[in-house]
Amino acid sequence: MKKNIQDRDTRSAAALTTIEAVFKKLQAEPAADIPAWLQPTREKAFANFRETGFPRAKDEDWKYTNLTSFAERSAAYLSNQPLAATNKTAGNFLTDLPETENEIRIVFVNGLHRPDLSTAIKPDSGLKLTPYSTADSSTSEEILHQQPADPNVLIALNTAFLADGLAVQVANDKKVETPIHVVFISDGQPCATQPRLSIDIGFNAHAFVIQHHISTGESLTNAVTSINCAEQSQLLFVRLQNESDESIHVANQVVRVATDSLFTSIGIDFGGQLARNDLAVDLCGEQARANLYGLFMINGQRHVDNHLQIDHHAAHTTSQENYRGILSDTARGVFNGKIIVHAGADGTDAQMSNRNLLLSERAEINTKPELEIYTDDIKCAHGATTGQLDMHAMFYLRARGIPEASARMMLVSAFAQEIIDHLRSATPALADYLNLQMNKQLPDIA
Amino acid sequence: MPAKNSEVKKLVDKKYRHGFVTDIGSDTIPPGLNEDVIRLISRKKDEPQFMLDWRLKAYRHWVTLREPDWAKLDIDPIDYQDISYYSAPMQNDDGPKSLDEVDPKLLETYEKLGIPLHERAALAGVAVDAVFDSVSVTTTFRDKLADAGVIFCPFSDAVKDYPELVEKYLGSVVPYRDNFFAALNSAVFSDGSFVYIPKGVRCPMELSTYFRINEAKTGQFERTLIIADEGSHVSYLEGCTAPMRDENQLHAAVVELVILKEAEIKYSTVQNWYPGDEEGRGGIYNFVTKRADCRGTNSKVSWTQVEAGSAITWKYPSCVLRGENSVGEFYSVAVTNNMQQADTGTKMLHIGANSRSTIVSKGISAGHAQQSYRGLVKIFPTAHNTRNHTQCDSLLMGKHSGAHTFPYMEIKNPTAIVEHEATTSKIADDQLFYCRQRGLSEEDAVNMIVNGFCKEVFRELPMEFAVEAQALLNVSLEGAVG
Repeated sequence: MKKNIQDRDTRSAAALTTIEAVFKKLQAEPAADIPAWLQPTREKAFANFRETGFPRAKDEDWKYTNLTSFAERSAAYLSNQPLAATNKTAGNFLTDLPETENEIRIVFVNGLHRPDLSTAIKPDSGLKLTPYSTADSSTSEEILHQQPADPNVLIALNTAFLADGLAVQVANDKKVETPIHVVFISDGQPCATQPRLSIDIGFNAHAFVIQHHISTGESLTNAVTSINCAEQSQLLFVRLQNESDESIHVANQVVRVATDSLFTSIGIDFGGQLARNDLAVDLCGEQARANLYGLFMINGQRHVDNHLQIDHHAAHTTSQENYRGILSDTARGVFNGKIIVHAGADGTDAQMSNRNLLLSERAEINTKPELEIYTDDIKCAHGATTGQLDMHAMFYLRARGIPEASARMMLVSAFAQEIIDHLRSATPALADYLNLQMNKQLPDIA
Repeated sequence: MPAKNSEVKKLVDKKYRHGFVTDIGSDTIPPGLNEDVIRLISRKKDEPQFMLDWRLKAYRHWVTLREPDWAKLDIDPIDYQDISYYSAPMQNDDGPKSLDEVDPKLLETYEKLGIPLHERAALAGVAVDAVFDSVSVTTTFRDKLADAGVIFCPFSDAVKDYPELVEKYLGSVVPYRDNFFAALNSAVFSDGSFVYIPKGVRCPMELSTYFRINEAKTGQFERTLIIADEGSHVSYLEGCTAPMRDENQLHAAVVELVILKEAEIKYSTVQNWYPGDEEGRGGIYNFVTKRADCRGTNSKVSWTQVEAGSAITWKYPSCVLRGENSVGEFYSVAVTNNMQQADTGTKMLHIGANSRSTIVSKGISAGHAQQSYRGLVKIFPTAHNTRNHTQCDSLLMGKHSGAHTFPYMEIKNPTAIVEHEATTSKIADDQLFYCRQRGLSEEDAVNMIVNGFCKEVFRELPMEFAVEAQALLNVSLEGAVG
């Protein structure tokens, strides 16, 4: 055991050394397609990454998730940089996407923007969509301004090798009705993709953004999303991860929610060999609200880890979390939800719920709903349950002549619906698409 | 005015009524820890060779360890070389043959503490083993228990009288390699209680141990080992107090419970070590390792604890549910006020099929106190049809108090049903208003609400303890409101 842990740490350290060499080489001869204004930020981020290093095996935040394979694959793939995103067939990935009416679709392949696959970006009063590669000096400054202030090691790595990304800026009072669908495709080339999305919602503005990851083969993605919701704004943010079964996917979302605004997030993980999501929400202003919903469904030897952290900094802030997991075969799931109520955040109401369904003998779930509370005038509650399909519900269905396999699928699907339903009012097409995706996998899982 | 002043003084004194020091001659070895000290302790206790060997192994392992730092506690560094590892009240070489020979000052101390050491004990029906500083002073009712076949004696006697039992079970639940404080305890422990309940015996009375730290600059390291043989039953209580002092004193105990087929142990603790003053000066560091091993089918263990004292508490009574149908229970009330810190909880390790566990943890945090519940429920792949329900509620009193929850659930069997619920809140204004409207003073109203909040746990305590616990709660929270 001890040897194994030491071994993991040595391997991660070796990967770090390789990555350092790659970065030094890039510094000496920068690739042509990297915007020059990113360079100082990249260097600073690399220093930060170098100092922190990959998480160690004993690191509490990484207790149940081993990142060694991510570190090693990153080292191997980064050595191949730069890869051009000129794959002609990348468009094939887009054929099964949901038929949402008049959405704005922006496509990135291997981390680089592909105008040929994206909706033409029309200059619109109030909504500005800027790929980093085409940012002018004022936009680039705004993008840099929105960098996560205290980046963790994965965010630092993303920034250090950042080549392209998308800035979504919604002006004050602008209500954007059309969904903004940002698709990140990894086409199977050995490429360490570092997708980046920065979303800035202005005062009293509304928007709906979908961050969608698709891949094939042994892809590697380290995504970072930074979100800023100004006063009285509303954002519905959907993160769909439907990557291949051999992919390694890590993602960070850093969110700041100001006074009287509402942030709703729905995170769905259907794919990935190893997936890890870190969602950190700061409720900075009074009456700020966050609703976080999540669903993952995994089988085989796959591993999904959801880490959430909500910081209540201001009075009368509200948060609600509801995460569900469905696990089968020898899949492993992790849920770690942390609510921190800081001194002064009186009148906070925080509710957390995590429910998991284990469908096979060897599936495993590790769940840890944490509360850290530093003031007294609050209401906090959390609940977590783990179990199998309800025997009585099964009996009810079987008694009505429904075959066992169908009955199981029905119950599993119903368990997932509660999360998917949160999407239905905003976009029925996307909810139907998710059900379709789920139904494809159900026979293998239930 | 003077009358009022004396009233006030009484109130202040009431806060920690066990804070006195007994002036009694004692045999205390100089501070410091090395192999010679361990040999000296072992020699003083006239122990067989196997004990010394075990202590030395533990010590050699301990020096390779670092203090654990994962708990949410702010601990001033402890100088382990500045602690005296052995202190005993001075007495005749032969030791007391009956209560009459025990130093009257000592008896007076126990009188003050309200322990039924004398004939009163008969009325209370409780057999008491009292540990003063490092050694066990007297054990009452030994003969009556012996009739039933129950062994209840100081650990040091057990080592001499029943070496085969001690050697077989010592360290089998909490090995000396377990953790930093368990290793330290294994190396230097001076005394404690030993209980053996033979097959099929229901212990005729409640057993109780009273721990008292008296001497300054000493650490107390006691070790309790209870073995419930097949089909037996025992209820065991422990209580603890210490004088008020400005420096921190270390208490690192180990409790091992072995529960065989169809046996049951009920273990209750009322912990009231000196918590330090309002500014957080002094108080006991209570770093305790407690574990129960349910080895046979249908075995059962129940931990009930009321944690009111100590400057810092680091304590996680655990249940290893190895046997089929075994049951583990954990009921806890932890109260922290002023600058107290507590990081406490439990571990339920479900290994056997159909094992069940219940966790009810109530935390009350007032003043500037910080309190954490830290728990693990682990369902092993072998544990079919297991059930766990965890409920942990926290009550906050005061803007600067903190309550934290760190529950871990690791589930590797699909037939398990594991539930966890937690809430954190303060006393609702409408509850308080309701009571005040009916003429209760604010303090009485708060006491009533808090007692209601803890009722689920107090119900599990033996009657005399429940009364004491309730009173203790009221004292601990004094001044926390308003």
